[in-house]
Amino acid sequence: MAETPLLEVRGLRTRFATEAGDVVAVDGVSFDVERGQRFGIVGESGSGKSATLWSLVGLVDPPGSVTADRVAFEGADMMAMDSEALRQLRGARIGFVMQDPLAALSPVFRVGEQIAETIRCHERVSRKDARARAIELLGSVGIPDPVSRVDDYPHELSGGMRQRVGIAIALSCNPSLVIADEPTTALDVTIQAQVLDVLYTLSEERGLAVLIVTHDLGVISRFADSVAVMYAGRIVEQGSVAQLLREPRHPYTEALLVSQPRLDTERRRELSAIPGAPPDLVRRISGCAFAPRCHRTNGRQQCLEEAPLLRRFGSDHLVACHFAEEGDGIAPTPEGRASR
Amino acid sequence: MTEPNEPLLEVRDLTKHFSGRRGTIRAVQGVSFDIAAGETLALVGESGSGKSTVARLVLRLIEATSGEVRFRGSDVLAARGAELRALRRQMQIVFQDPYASLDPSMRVDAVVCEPLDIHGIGSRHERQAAVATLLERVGLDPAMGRRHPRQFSGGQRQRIAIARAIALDPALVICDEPVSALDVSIQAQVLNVLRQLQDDLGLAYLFISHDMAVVRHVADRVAVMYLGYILETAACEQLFAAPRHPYTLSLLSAVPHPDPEVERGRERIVLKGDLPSPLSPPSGCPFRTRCWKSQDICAEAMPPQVATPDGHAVACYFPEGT
Repeated sequence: MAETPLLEVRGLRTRFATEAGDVVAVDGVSFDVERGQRFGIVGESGSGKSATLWSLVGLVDPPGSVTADRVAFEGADMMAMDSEALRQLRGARIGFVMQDPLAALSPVFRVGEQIAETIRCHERVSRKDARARAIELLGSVGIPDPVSRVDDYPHELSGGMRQRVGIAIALSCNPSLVIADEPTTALDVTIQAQVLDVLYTLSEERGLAVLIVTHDLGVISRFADSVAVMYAGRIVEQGSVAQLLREPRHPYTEALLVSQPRLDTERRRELSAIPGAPPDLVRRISGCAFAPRCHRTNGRQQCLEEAPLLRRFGSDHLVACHFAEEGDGIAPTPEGRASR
Repeated sequence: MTEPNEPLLEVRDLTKHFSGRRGTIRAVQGVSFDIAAGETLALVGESGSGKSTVARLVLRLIEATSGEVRFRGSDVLAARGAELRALRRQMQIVFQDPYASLDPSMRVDAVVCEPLDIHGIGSRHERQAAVATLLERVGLDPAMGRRHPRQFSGGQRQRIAIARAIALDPALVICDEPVSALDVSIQAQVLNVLRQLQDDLGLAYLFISHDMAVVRHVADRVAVMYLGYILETAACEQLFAAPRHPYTLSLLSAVPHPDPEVERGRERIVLKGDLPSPLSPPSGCPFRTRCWKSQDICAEAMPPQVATPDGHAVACYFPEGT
């Protein structure tokens, strides 16, 4: 009998009612996050990656609505919990790190108070003990001189330091899962590297699982163990990071990998751009959502008529493409990658 | 006409200080560079490095505190009236966010035609024909000119902004983070259009970006900025193959590689600490507070730019490769 996954998501569906009609932002997403695993969701704007996270932590408000066949955390069915039970879970067992730490923190409270508040929401501890834990947490996320920083207001900290405070709050009640929505996107590259390292180290040291959403394949490559690629509300490919980024089988993953300039590709070559733009999610898409931009479809009828389901390749590689076999499972090498 | 050896754009000791209640922000601190006709110079740096301020100074969207900007030999900072308008025809800009830079109430053909209208170029009929050609040049169907910006995707909008920027047949286009607001799958479309236009029209670009991989892809030469200073300038291939300033090295090191095997196998430099505030920059070298090579001398004075004969200039007392 396999161990129960830490987080089990089956058939997650998120809709937003708009004047133009229902937008299906998340369209039947299923995945597991194991204990201690770093799981990445990668996609572009509108792919549903952030909506997936927000749905899981109950931050989708009307006109949005969330349904699922099952969402279970540590084996307990979250869909059956009342709001008080969910509130106890969030912030305590599940930490949440937002993209913009300035928006996530209150400008009128000292950072130490904000960390202590989270602790005291979930545990019976004295103010003094909560403050001591806040200082300890600030130290563990790499904030220098935490004893004096604990009394700073958010505006007195740099963007990188604020995001560290955001991570400290997420960790304040020793969660087993941290959910992070583009945690480094608002940061400069050298700061991004620091913050990712902090999250990675904490995850290793504490056996903490991290569910991270990003648009950056480089972040996935550095940080995650497993990854799901989302497009137009669905997971189109999923697997271990090593497999998916080195041996992609979905044409969208392939195209994403070759369309970006890298530090080791030929300079100034024509980049293989993905034509068109992601679909408008108000319209119902029959067939594969990526078909209009796909280099593999070749106008085949099946791609236009039938939505491809995820199929298994090897032990844990899932691909939603009717013609996944035509992906050779070898990372696409932009011509001239070796030298100019 | 430009003399064969004369650069298209010369920038010397350009400085901009913003004064406010909280003190003076030294945004640009004596920056110098040249751009030749048809060349791409990339200014790369993190937030607060002053790279976008340089773009605005060159175009006189804001006024410099001191320094010199010459375009084909004429003094840009002293130009007024008709002379300034004539210079601006030659220098155009593409902004980061095409959702903010295009007027949502105007049809796209009017957006692209507006520079021609303002400068009174051609008859109405000629302008219409010019707009069609411009839209084609950036890979858009001229028939789409009747639509409004909201009907276009981000990548298409940025191409509209580019069509507008080249409408007056400029010699220099300043691109301020032109792909940063775009999704990954769309960036390549815009980068390809910029490259194609350079090949066809001989445009020079001042390309401002924080993305090292994009810079490496587009640039002929690169200048690395930090807290208002240019720390290193070199031919693109040289800069990426053999960076000499420790900051350049750490910037390159911070870019994760999409191949996990490469990424996890490589040695990385992770800088300590934060970017200092431009309100109170460190004495001497601005990078010294985060630099692993820093010595007492670094706090005393900004190191002078030292260039090798092939034009690789670095402002560091202890550069790499020595």
